[in-house]
Amino acid sequence: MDKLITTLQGVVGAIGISLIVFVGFNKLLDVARNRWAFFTTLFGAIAGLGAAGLAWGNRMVDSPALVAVIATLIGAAAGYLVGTLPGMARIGVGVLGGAGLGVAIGWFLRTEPIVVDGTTLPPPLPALQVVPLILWPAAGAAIGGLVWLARRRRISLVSSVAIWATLGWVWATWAVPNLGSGPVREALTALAVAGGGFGLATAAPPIPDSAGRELLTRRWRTYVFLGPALLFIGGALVLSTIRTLYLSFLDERGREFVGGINYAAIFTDPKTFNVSGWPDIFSRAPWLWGLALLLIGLIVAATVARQRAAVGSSTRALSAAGGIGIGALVVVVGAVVVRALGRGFAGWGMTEDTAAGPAFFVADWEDSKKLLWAVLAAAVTALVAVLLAHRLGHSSVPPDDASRRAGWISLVLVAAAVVVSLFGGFLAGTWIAVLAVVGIILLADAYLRRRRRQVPVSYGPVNIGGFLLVVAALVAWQARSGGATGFLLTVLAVLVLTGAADWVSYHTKGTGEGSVLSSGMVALGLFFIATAVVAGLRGTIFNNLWWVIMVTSTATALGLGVAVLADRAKYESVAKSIIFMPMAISFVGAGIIWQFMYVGRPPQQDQTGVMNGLWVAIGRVNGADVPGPGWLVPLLVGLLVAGLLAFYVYNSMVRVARHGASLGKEAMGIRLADVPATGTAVLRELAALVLFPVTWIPAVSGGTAIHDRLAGTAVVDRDGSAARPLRRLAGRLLDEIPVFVLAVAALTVADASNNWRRGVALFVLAVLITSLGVLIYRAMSANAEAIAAGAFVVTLPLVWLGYRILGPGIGGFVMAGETRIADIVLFIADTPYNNIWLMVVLIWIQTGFTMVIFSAAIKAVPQDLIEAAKVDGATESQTFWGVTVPQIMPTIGVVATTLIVLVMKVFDIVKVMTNGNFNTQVVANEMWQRAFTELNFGLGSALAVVLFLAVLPVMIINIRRIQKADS
Amino acid sequence: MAVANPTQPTGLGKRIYGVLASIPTWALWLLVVVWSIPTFGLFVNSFRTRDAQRAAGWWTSIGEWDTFTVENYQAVLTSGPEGGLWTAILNSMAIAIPATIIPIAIAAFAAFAFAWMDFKGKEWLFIGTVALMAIPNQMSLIPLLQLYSGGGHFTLPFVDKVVTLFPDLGLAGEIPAVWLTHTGFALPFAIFLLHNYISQLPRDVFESAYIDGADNYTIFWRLVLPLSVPVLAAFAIFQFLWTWNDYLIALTMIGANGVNLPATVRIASLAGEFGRVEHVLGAGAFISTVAPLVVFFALQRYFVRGILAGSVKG
Repeated sequence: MDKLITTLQGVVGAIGISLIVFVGFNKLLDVARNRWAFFTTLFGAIAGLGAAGLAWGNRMVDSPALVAVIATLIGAAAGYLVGTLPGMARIGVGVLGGAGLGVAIGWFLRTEPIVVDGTTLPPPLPALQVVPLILWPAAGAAIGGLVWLARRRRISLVSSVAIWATLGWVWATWAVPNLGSGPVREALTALAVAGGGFGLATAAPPIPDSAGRELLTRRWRTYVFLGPALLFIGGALVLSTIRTLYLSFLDERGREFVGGINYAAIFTDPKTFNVSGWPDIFSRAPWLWGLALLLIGLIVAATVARQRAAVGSSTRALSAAGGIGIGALVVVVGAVVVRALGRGFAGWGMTEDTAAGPAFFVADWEDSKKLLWAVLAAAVTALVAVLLAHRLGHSSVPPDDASRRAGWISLVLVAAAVVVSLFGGFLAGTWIAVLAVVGIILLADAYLRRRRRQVPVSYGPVNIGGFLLVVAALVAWQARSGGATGFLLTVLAVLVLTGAADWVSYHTKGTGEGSVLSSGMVALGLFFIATAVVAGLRGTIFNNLWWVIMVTSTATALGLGVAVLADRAKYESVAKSIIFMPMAISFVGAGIIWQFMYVGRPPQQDQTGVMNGLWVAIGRVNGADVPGPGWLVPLLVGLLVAGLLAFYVYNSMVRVARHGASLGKEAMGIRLADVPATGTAVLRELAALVLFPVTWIPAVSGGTAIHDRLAGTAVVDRDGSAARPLRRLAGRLLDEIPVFVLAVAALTVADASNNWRRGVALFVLAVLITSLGVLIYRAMSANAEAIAAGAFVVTLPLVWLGYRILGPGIGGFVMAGETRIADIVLFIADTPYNNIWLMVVLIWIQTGFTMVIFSAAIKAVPQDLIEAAKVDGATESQTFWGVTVPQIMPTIGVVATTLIVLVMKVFDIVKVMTNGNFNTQVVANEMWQRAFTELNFGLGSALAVVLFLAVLPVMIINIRRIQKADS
Repeated sequence: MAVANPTQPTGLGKRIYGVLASIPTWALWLLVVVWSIPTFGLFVNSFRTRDAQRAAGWWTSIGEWDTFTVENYQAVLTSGPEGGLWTAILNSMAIAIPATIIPIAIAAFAAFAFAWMDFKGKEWLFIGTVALMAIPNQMSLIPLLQLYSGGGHFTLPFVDKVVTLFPDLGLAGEIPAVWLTHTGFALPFAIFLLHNYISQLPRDVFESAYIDGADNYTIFWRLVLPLSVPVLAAFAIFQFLWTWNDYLIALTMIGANGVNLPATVRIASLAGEFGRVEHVLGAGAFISTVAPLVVFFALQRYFVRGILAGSVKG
């Protein structure tokens, strides 16, 4: 209770004093206007009090309270007289009053040395010297004269000279000579003269008339209004910043100048700045994913740009350069992987026996050599395939010739595939021959299709190239005696090749969607690459960088997404305020909340943290300890998911058809009248897809397939007869699907060698997901680039997930021989990805912030713009990317810069959750530890300066923005 | 082509369509659930005994309300160093309330001056002030702590004499040090926010007041303050949440002086012993979150307005 009372007293006192001071100063100015003498009296009193305070603060006097009283009284008396007396009398009083004030303070001057904080302060008694006493006041007087001239004589000459001369005097008496040696009377004299000088300066100007008082009041009112703010800002921010800069060049106690040693220490300490792990960057999963996304994004962008440009030799050259570039990039990627091999794959962050994570093992060199050859073979093949595809796609020969040539090329590539397969078989020596046979069938299919002109010119060879790369990667995979590198290489290969396929395939009109998609993919690719880089380069500074990239981008994107979702959802405001709520929780509290989420108990016990609880539970679903066949549950789940996706496809089709109907034409060849009236069509399509693996091979041979019968689909419906749209889509699907299917099927085969039931389930699920991924994008977009690229973006993670679920399995377990034992993730301790789990906390907090801002910005987009876009036939997503996003771009900029500044300084979360252990240190926490636990102010300051420099560009951007807004 | 008369999907298809059309709603609510699980889990856990917390996850106890207890709350409030969390909560109040009001007062004056008074260098001073919003607090911590613990001194150049500009008031470890620091750090944003609002007030109001002979001081009290209540409230909530939730400044400025530490610092030090006191941690974290949550939900409208004014504009 006492605590409560003292607290309240403190609160009321602080607020009261602040208010009294403000109001007091303003009242003082009111007085100045109306009652001049009263004003000067008060002013004199305050000046006296201030002088006494200065003396006290500098430990000049013995009894500060008494001095304060006397000084205030003298000041008040002199002030009153100065405010009332006329002419010379006023000046006399001013001088005498000032001198009296000086004497009053001087009377109480301390005469004995005192010891403060271990240093001895001499008494403030200067030994005066004649030369400085003449020189400095004279110099001051000269400056005063110049100031008077410079101010165009709007101030009083006497005042100006008196002030500056007195300042010179003070400097000459107190600063220049040694203290503590002079007699008391000299100090008294010095103070009296100084006081007199200031008194003269104050009293010299004439008493202002009412207009002058008005002016004076107005001018001073500005200072009173601004003064406190500037005082605080100057002290807490400006001077402190300058002092920190200064301290960063001093030693740890702030005594000696040490130059840049503190900065050198930051950048030579491997804990803060460690680039020795750079080769690991290239073997990281995010690197590969990022590179792949970047490539596709660039390719799509190039396609869109090419479509917009006029057809001519320059664009031809551009595409040729693009083709060569892609091939070269593939080779570079291979080389980079090879470089990484020299150091093994230690950078994956997990060990071989953790079946749970993204990856895997330490390579030995013999294995790596095989991989190297396989990768090189793949790269060369890819280059050849892409270049050939390019030539074919852009030749100006008539279609018949092109088709013939395509046939030849197909045959050549078949041969190449056989060679590569044999080569792989030679290296790996096992079942690779089976794959080769499958590949040959597929290639023959491509050849036959080409002959029948059933697919657009130039599309097939690229698929074949993709197939070749798949084969090569699988060879590599086989050479690796199991593991996911091959899979990742496959993914990479398929991504690259399909990107290339887009580039050389359908020449649809470049709508905005293609470029938006491509920039999105480029951004995502850069994001992944950045993640790989900062996860590979270790140390505090890179961690901080990682935070900034990850949290800023994720929170911005998530916030935008939620805002869009909320914009059309029911109960919008309730949902928004719940997502917003973490903003009210302290970083410390959020850190604790998430510590409970991440906590892990020993695997034998029940988990108490949500994350590990879920993880282990998922592992159980896959595990042998579930009754019944291990693959049944995932298969059912997979079917459910697939069913939902099928519904979604159906919905999309209805939408597309409606859109087409509203324009009075067919959109994507779907007529509304053709859309099946009931959901049974969806179920039928689903059934066709489920049975796809069975029906597919007959379809390839060109005969009537079971699939065709089931779904009523002609394999390729080129003449545009009135086939039902779902069937038409399924037909088109077949153009693209083999590459996917082969990749996952091969994975299946491999897995089947361990567990055939799981293998079969995987196969089915993978096919389902792949097909549906393609279908979705077929249905949702009329843009070929968007379709193919989007299909991959959606499909690959799903395939990956399916593979993880059904292959080795996903979840918290480890294999011990044939049985699975529960295993947990140490979210907070497993480096380097534990950093991401800490970032999640900040993302959780900040998404609400970004959501609120974006929500308001989206609602502020003029409705007529959106209406206009809709009238012009833009789809929902086109409207969003083409109208809404450009409109809110400035807001995105503001949000991003705000977040960058905030994330750069992240401290509380790291301090509370790990205190920088387990390689999670950030600059702010490092700074705090150095400065306040080790009391190394020099190094602490240098770290603060590093933060400051990092924020500087944002400050400049902000200044520009404000200037723009002002003008 | 008979497309002019689009037929609606019927029967099952229509129902499916209805389900699909509501996707944004359930996607949003799924996200809401995910977003609230961490807080909800902490809340549930805070009512469970130490043994229960260690034996199984909080989700297993849903429905078994009769096993819930408030003893964690009692324990964390009253026991522990310096009188438990209750003292720390009082300290948080003693820090947050003045550290909210003082900057508002100062910033309102300054914002008014920037918006409606004429003086030399106004634009540059304003831009400079606002640019300081981005300066990391870390840049000021060491000098400010030195200022509070030893005063501000300036060594005169060439003559090597020390002049004291700010006396040693022994503020380090005391609550006023935190007020002063928060005030300094908050001012740029406060001025920016209030200025944006105050400068948008209608000019005629001021002109007629000037004609009636009112000076700036009167106009400020009689016109500007009453008209600016919404933005003042917005900033107040912002600043209250900020100061209540602050950890860095309190930890630095109060440091070892346990009697003055606010709730955030106390709870963070509890979290440092995660394994041992885990069971009361949830209760502690929740208590310290109550005040901001109440303020947040009661005054959310103003808060959102403040965030928007601070970010979207400018």
